Amino acid sequence: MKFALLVFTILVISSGMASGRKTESQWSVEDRWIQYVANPKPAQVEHPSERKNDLTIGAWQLYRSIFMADGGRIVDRENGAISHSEGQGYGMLIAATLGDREAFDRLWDWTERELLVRDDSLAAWKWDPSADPHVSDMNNATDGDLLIAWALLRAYKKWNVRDYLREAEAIVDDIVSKATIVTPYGSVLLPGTKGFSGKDRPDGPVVNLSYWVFPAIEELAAQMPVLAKSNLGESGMRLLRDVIVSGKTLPSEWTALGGDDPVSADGFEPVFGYNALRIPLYVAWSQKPDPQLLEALATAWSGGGEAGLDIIDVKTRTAVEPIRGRGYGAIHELTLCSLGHHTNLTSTETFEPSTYYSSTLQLLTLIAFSERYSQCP
Amino acid sequence: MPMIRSRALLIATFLSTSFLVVTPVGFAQATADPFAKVPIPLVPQSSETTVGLSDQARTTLNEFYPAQTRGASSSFAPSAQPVGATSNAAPAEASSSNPFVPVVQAVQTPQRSGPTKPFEMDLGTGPKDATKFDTNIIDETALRYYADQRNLERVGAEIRRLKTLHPQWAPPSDLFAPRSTVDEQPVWDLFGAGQYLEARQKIENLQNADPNYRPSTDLLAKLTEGEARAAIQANSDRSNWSGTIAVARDHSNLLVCEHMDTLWRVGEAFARTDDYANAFDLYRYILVNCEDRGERRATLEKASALLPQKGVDALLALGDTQPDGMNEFDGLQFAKVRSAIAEAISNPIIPDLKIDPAELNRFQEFAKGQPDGDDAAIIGWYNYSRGEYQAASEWFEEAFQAGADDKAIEGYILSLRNLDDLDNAEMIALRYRDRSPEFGKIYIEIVADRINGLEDDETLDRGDLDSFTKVVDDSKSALGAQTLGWYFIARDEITDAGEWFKKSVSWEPSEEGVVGLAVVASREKDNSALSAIKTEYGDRYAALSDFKEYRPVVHQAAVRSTRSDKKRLNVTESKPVRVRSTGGGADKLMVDAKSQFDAGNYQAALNALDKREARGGKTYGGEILRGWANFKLNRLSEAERIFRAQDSQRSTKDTRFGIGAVQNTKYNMWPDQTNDCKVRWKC
Repeated sequence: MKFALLVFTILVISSGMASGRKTESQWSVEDRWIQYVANPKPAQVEHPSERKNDLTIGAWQLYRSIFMADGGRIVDRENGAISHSEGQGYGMLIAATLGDREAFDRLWDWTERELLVRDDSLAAWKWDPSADPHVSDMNNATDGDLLIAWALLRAYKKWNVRDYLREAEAIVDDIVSKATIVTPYGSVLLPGTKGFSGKDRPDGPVVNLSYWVFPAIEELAAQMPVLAKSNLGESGMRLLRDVIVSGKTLPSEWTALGGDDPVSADGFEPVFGYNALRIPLYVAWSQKPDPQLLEALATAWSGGGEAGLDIIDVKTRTAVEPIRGRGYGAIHELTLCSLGHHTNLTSTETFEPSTYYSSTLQLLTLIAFSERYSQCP
Repeated sequence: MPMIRSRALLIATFLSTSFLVVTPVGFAQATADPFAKVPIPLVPQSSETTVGLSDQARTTLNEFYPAQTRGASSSFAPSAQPVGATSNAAPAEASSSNPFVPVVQAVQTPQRSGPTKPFEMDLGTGPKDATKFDTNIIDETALRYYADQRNLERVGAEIRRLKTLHPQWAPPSDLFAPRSTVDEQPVWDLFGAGQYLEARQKIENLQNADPNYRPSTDLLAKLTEGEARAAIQANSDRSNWSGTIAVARDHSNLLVCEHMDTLWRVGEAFARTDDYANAFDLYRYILVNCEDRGERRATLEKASALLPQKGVDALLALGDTQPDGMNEFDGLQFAKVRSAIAEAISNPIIPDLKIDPAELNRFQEFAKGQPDGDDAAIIGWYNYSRGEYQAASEWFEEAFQAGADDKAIEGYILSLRNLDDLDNAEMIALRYRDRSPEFGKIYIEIVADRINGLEDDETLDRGDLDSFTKVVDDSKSALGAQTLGWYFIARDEITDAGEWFKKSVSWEPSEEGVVGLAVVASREKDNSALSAIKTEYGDRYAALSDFKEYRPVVHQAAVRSTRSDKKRLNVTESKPVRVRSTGGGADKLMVDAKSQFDAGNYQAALNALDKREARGGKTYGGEILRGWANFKLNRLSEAERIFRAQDSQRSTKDTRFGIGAVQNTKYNMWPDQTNDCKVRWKC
């Protein structure tokens, strides 16, 4: 309850869209979003955030026409048209958030049928249309599971379908029991149930800091005591502060926790790349954004040159190769704006579908803007 | 509930009887000539008692049309009238509008701007499918347009808007689907031509040719709409009211101002199926939302014909005040009584059920002050149809003074004639004969009657004769000419008579004219002329066989003329029946009446006489035949009344004999051997 009140306080301060009726005090962020979408203000003056909301709704329709196959599968077109639990989770999250029931149902049906094939409630991480069977690796990807659970929770709140809540709870139970491990940093999130623990790897446990979907963990924890007790969010933030603020570098894609300090895991390139660039998105989207952390992220991952953003070698802190795509630029702009820096939000002015990943991140960032930073221009 | 239902049925009965003959009310022209709706009466006097609205019917009406007070609790009570509108029906309501500041009022027009939601019918207590979701009513045109433009912001806003309006709606999954290159224009062309079936077929062909082709939402929506409108029209044309409503219910998006004809048809369907609540709401919807002046007026006229007065009064309150300070519905408050009167005129057999005497009084008061005289003329015809010729003549005079059209003059002349004010009737018919050929005809009839009524030693005033011959010549009146022929025969002016008979027969052969020629030939002992006439017309007119050369046998008139008894001027010839010369059509009806009488079809004879009277008024010969037809039908009192009425105007042997015959039959006083059959209907 205390937590919910805190959420509300932050929301009223940071969001211009709260209508502030007393009975709504218990509403969570997504309730407000839902409320907003269902009862938009009359469009007299085009408030920037309203324009963004409309852009998000329209962009999602275009997105789903391109990336969502008829059966309810989000297609990663650049990766052999495979699907994965992450993509399904993102799709379900956006559909639930924007109130697209029809798309949500199709995505969830497909996910349930094709990916929930393990003997627990977690999803097989990859589905390949050209493989037989389509699912060959029964391992999960824990961020995908978190996203699916989060989407189900929002869907439950929006449409009051009790089954969605039960499914979300089952997933979260299995994440906590099978994909977390206690470390000196607290309980941390294993990227998958297999292959990342101290037993599996000499430098283990190995984590992926971009799998901490902070807003998901927060919303799910508010509803599910088992997750709240694990303090997953805190451990993630602590790890990030260690690496970024204390270590004065960017986190690498994969981080080994077996040693004294978190270091880049063996066998992976020590880069802040396409995985890790979601970290600023999740931190900024969090209900308790850490300005110091965001400031450090924004500074270290600022691009600077004409080429824009880059993949960064975390050891040399130099650019490895440029990153191009509106979705990535959008995350950077979100970070800047969350800190109150004046910036032109060129990456969220329009939506143009590009790759699956960039397009998805752009949509997610648009939603993060709407939910957390509607004051941004 | 059963109580209300039975009352509704009562109203229905009372309404349906009163709309037996009215032409499809829904579709009359808005600005029809009032006279066009006023057929000339068939029977002047209905013996039925005038029946007003029963108390029960009134109670029921009050229930169905709650008093026009603001905030009435009924679900279909009219809501407050628009700002600035005044009400004729409820003057107390008009207190908010100041008659001294018409300009200010004119500015205050009711809000009818922008697109309005379609009329929503109340489906009543019947099972409602709450989950039923009709995508039909959602217009995705704008959404698709923005999608085509890739204007995602607008797409999002439109989705938001549509979702707010229709929470169950979902954006179409093909919003951004690649567009087919198929040209839909041919389908649109078929649609535009109203060939909906062919358009559907064409779509199917296009789909067969290109499996990727999906007809545009716009096209499908318009096509469905067009088909529904056609179905509503077809159903209502066949008086299939429930079918009309069923289609409308499935396509409620059609019930908007742009489809006024559809609205009217559905409104009529409601009214015809006793659903006054929905009918009222629909008319109210039009008056609240639709702007076209003509359509608004027509709506009120239609409602007046279909709804009880209470409903009409409530609708009248929705009229706008116009820049001149007048209410747009001024004059229409009497539309209902007008149509009831029109109906009473065309159906004299039906008692005046629908005409509320108080309403009639109000209407009469109103009509007196009206500048065009049209309403006065309507009341004139109403009185005429009820045999109230004095009142009729006064109303026609009023109408005529106010400048009503020629029909009012005609009504005035006919009324005068029925009042036996023949001098004035003749004078006015002559004065206005240039305005309508009808007046010339009536004039000829009146004068012909006068001529037929002359004693042999009487002559027509020289001036009158000149006028008459001129009109007869101008209008080539066969009957006028043969009347003149007989006039001159009676005065032994055989040459003149022959000329007029020749003219008459050349304009239009008739038995009277041809026999007149034969009489002339006979008088002149012109054997060859007589045989020529017999050769030419012998087959057609049996009366000619009576003309033997030089000494034709005495021929007794089929129907006695007014003077046949006195006019045995010469036994070598007989004057055949000279029915009143009421113009070709009317005269034909007299012939019909006679032959029906001869054949023993007395009722048919009466019917023919009714028709004839409707055209030309009462005539002596017609009334005598009517008397005998009633006599034959054993309606002795009616027969006696007719004979006495004629006898009081002009006592003749025929009238006296008629009265005697009735008396004898009534009191069984016929002497055994008195029937010598000199006159056909006395046999």
